[in-house]
Amino acid sequence: MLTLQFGQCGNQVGHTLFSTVAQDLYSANTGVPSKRNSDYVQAGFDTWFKELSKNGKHLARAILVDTEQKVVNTVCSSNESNSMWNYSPANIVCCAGGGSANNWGYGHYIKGPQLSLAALEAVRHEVERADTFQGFLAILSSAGGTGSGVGSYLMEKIRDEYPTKTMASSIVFPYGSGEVCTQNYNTLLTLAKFIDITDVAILFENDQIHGICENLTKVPNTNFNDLNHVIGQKLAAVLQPVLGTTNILSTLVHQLTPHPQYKIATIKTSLLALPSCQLYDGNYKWNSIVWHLKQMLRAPALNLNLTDMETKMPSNSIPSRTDFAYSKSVSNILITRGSSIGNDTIVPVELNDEKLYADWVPHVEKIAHLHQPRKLLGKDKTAALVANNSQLHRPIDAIVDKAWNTYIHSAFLHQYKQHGVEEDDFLQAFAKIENIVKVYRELCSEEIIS
Amino acid sequence: MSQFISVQVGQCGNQIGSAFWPLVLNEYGIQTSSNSVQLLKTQKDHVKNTRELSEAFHSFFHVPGNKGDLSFKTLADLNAAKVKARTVLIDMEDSVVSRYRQGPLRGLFDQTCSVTNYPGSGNNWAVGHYTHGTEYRDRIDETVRRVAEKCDCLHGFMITNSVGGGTGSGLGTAVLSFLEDSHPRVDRFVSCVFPSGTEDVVTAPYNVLLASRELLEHATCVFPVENKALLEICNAQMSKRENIDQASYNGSCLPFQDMNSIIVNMLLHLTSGSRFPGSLNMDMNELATNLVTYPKLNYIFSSVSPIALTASTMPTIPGTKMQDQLFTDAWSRSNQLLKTDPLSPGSVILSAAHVVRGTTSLTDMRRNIKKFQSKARFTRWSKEAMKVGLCSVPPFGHPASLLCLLNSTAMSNMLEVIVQQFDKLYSRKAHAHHYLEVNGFEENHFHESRESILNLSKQYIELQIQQPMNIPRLQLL
Repeated sequence: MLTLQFGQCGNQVGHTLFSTVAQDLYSANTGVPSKRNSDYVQAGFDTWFKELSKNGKHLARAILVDTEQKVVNTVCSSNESNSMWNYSPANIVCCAGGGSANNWGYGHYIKGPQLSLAALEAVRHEVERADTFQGFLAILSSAGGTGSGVGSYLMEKIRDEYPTKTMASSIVFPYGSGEVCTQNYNTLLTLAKFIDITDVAILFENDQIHGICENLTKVPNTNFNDLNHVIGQKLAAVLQPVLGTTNILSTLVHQLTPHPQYKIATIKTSLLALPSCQLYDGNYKWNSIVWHLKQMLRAPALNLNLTDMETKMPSNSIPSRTDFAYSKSVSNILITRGSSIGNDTIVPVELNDEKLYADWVPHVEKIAHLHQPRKLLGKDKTAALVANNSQLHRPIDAIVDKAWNTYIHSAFLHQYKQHGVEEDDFLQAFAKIENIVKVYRELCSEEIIS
Repeated sequence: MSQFISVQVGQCGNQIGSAFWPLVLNEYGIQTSSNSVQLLKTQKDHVKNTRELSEAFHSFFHVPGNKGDLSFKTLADLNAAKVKARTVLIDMEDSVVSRYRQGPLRGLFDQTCSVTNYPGSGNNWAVGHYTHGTEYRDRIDETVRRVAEKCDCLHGFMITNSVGGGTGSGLGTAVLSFLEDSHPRVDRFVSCVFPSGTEDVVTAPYNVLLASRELLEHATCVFPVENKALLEICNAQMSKRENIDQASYNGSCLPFQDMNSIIVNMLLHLTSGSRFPGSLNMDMNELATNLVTYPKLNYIFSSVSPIALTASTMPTIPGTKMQDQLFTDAWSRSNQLLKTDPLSPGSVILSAAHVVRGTTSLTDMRRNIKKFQSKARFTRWSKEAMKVGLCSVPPFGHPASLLCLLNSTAMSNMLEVIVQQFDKLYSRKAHAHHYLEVNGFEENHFHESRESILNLSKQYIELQIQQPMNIPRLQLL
């Protein structure tokens, strides 16, 4: 698997992801016999890393793309000392002379083409040297200019060159209260591109991740490092080796996206093992964990705000009242890690509930369960649910709403026009995203989608 | 690492420059103390970010031979390494620039980076803009080119000038358009000083109006500063007992040091995101995208807290309370670099940027952004037009500081005053003949500039009373 890290957020999250993965592969507390563990470790290293560097460090299968050096420098230098892995210097594709100005147009039409030759060369090199190439994983945020603009330009190019390879993307949505003045435009344009280019887009919302940090870690002051750790752990919980498949990326895509109109997903996790979190408790039964994951898919009742269950710990007592309303999914994948024995086995039957799925989803395609007895990061139990669910229309809808409001008052548009993004391009992006909002929203209604 | 060229025009511009360079060196940990100049003090728990600082040294300085180690300690080290400031000094009288050549920092500047002449522009914008502009264009272009050649990634020009006089105002705006011609892709940030109401220059209203129009046309962003506001900040802040260090430092420097150091503080903060790493970088070229909501609305309000460059002698309590205080101070009128209050009743915010240097957390940031969003008034679409920057290297001596940049419709108030004062003078045609005598200047320039500033003011007002549009979102069939 080749990871592509775009922009500040992509590089920081990517770095956290690789650190998490390396830490997990070196973890001594495995919970499985050593033969089994070595298979796991072998598979993990094959997925994420290539050969050793001269000084004996694992080199990440990753390309770092940014329009300025500071983030990449910081990320690379933090690996120089006591770390088991590093990036290949040849895989750092950076151009100096100013970032992408928080402008999707500038990133896509000016910076992207500038970086394209070097980036594609690095990609070819990496793909050629992989024995069994799984696919691409792009990591980026949609708020700024580099991740969003350069990212979508390069992913388009890569798609042209590798039309049949699996491409997944993880896109981080900015805080609703604002990180960048043009974030809604950038997110809109990015999503419109990625929905066409990649096979599945995994969304992370900073607001939601922030909630998880604040509630689960109990650390009073959250910073971006904490957010990156949550995202890194979620990705690792899904993408680390599991039994029954050697290509987790394509398994994800096949299971999650049975219909070409539904290509976005989110990762729900129960029992995250955050470095700053002392609250980890592996004593929960798998039943409660599966129930906990199910509760994360609940639909809010009319006019009521639902507590995000992901910001809570699981509970061992399953309430007797179970007639909750749920947001419908197109498909779900449950990925569990840890021992499943005796009176505490994993039975994903709760997640097979008809109430969780749109009517037209065939019974066999509803849920897949992947398991790995080896502990993740030395924690007894971890569970992740990758959901292609109707809930996703909410954050996207909110962004379209704000972007549309700004658009009709034609604010900031001149910044995009000077780089060749015309009003018509915006309209097309709006149409595309409105369609996504519509189809995801309608999953929950009784209408039958043609 | 991005690099900046400071272009200082006129007496005021160069005086800001003479406050700028010692303080830049100070930020990079180089002591500039010579006989009378005292050191600025740091706080006890101040963390030195030596590595980040030395990596960012290229931003303002050219080091020949690209040596690896850039952690200079003293001025002698700099001189030994033949370090040069990335700057262009332009003045039509020699007095201020020649002080550079005699001062303790003379090693950083050489003859080749300055363009000077005698005897000035006579407080006449037209003389500065047309007479000197035509005569010195080639020399200025050549000087800029020489300095720019030493940059491998030139990020922006920072122009400092005043708009009340002749040279800074007239020639300064001419230089601005030279830069636009020769480096169209490099951003031009102007921080210019507007004279206080009680003029020492009779023709100031003409100069201000003519210059304001040029700034509108040719600058990427303008950060106007008013002398009166600076003076009030000085009176209120520098006299405080906790800022005694700053006061004694200022006293040991050239006149106007106290006022100019406030501008310098803002400029250092403004460029910090481009120079130093952080968990949410804000590059200078993002400023325009984020703040200029419509074409030409490029006049930006700025405020910094804390105001003093030196550490307070009072102990500060780190944590939530200090963070909140930073924000509250930055929004208060007393920290604004303009007399006009961007948050005055009736005005609306078009976009805002908050840049924190030093220790902070997302929790603090979010809480305060929310507070701001409930405190200020916005247009229908601008409430979430918030830019956030987090830079990990705090200013010298402080644990944290905040820069708040606002694009507010309150700017129309200032623009109206500019036009009013112009009208007062022009109704009597006082001194107008001095301008009309100048080759290249025509009476029409007055009218066009007035029109253009009035239009800008109107545009702000229109946004202020903008009726929200209610075009429904796209419907899919």
